[in-house]
Amino acid sequence: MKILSLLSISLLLLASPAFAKDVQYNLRVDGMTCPFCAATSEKTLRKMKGVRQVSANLDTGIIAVCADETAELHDAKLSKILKKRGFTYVSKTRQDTCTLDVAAKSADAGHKKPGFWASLFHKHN
Amino acid sequence: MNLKHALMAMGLLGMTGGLGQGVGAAPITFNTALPLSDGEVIVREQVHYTKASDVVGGMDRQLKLWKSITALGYGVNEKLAVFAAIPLIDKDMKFGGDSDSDSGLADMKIFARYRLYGKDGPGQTTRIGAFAGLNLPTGKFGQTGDGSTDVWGGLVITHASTRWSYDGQIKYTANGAHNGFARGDSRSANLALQYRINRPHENVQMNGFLYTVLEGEIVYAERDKMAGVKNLNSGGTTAFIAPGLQYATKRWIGEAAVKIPVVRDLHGTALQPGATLILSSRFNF
Repeated sequence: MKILSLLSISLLLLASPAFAKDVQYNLRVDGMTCPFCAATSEKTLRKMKGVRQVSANLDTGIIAVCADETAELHDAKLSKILKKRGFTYVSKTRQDTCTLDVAAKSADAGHKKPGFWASLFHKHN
Repeated sequence: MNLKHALMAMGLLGMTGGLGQGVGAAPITFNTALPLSDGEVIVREQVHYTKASDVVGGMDRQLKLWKSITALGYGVNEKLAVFAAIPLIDKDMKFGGDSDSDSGLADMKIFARYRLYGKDGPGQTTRIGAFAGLNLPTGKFGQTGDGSTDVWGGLVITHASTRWSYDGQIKYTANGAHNGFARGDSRSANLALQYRINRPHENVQMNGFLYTVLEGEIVYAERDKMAGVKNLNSGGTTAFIAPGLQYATKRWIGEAAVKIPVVRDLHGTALQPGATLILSSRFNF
């Protein structure tokens, strides 16, 4: 009986959302033009249940969202909350692995933050 | 510490940043284009220093004016935003051998803006809004305020991209009367251009955006009236340009501009406008 109980608890733990896999959603959002827009949209999405990490890229207009696969990132919900913040949600794609963690770590390791003054003298592309 | 030092300290305190969530590019010389979304609060702290002087009939005239303007905004919903601007002033005036000074709360402004049109694209947005407001007689009559309640309104347009932004505003002010004195009504037009000069393709996670700013304003004011009689030494046309810099991060914005008069065509012996230095900071919550 003891063994059966232990097995049941183990199975329950394995099935719980705490062990859900992380996936990445790439949201195409129009109307983001400034650092403020990035901060506002990231803050809004970070509040959604199951969302672990968010990063907006203004040049591509894409917000990468790492979330567990049970997170409810429905189009209608995304459209509503981003509209309230003054942006237009267009579409999303899903990938099975979250690359935000990897990108953040390699940025920390390989790219020292250039600093304010250095950024001023960078040549325009 | 007198009011002048307090005003400077408020501006410098504002420049240090770190209190709020973030702010977007917007004009420095007018508040009607400040971006606000649903439920968001914005605080903008500005310090203005103006110096104007001339010689009339062999007499030197000089005005030194410190002004602190605290602008607060709240996004009622995605289209409607309400604002209040609270000015504190400290002014010294000299006319020949005589001098006078006044300080304290000046006339507050309250206004609302409603978005009539908005269109977003990849990395860009266009918005048109209508605004209406009141100047409230919160200043001391004849010293820091003119005692009247004034009504104003107009249209504001913003187009922003990750590289360029521009804002335009047209405004009409119908001034009220108090104790027989009525300031002349005025019409004005403003334009502001912002051009991002640092790392146009850099990810915003790494650095803030630095913009050069060029703003312009033209104002035509009718003559003031006292007991129904026009004051011939009032009203006229003035125009300014204001070059400046703006640094916007995800958490705060710091900005500075110098407002330089380019048209000084006030009627009669009215004191012509001088240059104004503006230091400003903004936070969103």
